[in-house]
Amino acid sequence: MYGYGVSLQVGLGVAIPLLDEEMARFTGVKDEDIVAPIVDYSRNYPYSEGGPLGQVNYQELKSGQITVNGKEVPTGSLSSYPKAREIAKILKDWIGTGHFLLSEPAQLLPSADSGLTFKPLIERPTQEEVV
Amino acid sequence: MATRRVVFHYPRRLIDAPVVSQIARTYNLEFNILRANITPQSEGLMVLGLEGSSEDLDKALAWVQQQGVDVQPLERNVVRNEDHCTQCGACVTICPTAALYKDSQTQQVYFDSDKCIACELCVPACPPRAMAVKF
Repeated sequence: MYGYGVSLQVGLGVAIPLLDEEMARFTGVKDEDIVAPIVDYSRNYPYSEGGPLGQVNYQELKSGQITVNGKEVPTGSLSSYPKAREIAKILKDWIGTGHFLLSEPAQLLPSADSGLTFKPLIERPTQEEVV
Repeated sequence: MATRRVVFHYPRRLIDAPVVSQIARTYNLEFNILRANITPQSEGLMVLGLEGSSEDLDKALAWVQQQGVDVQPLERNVVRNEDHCTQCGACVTICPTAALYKDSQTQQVYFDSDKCIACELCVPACPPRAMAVKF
């Protein structure tokens, strides 16, 4: 992919069972409540320098333009909502026709209190030895 | 400096005529042959890009036509393969004319080819390689 190198574009449809009010509340979150940082990919991201340029919510992002440092900037996406809806519908149909059933979990996914952390990549400077 | 992409149709009698090298020398043009289909005893076709001053380009193409070679401007079209397009939207912000755009409600990606200027920026930007240039 342009600027990313060799990439895989993968779409995954996951059916989330809404078994209680808490899950219904979490999954009922609106676009305007989903917030993301604006990250500078020239410095912030590759060099872990500095902080985000601001925050936006998904409603703003989906509108096609946001304001960054007073400037109007167009927004795009890298994942497909239409395809996501298509896959969601397939899952819904499977569930509706009894071809996809709720089962006991085999193993729980680690949650926020699991203590798992990301290890940052520590770059070692390369040294060229002059012979 | 201007660039022009043209299609030359050679009649049979001019197959051996060094038209391209002639205009390159006489009118000081750079040329880039994109496609050539010249067979002996038959008509010939050449698609090429020519670079030079507007004045020289005009004179060169007029001379070529005078020799009996038909000259047509090249129509370059960008086409979208609807089956390959995953509606991801990677092409949308890169398109300078908004020929590729998204419906803000459905997030569907649309391609208005009337607005397309065939800049070809969307071609490498498209992850599933759904965009292509057709001569």
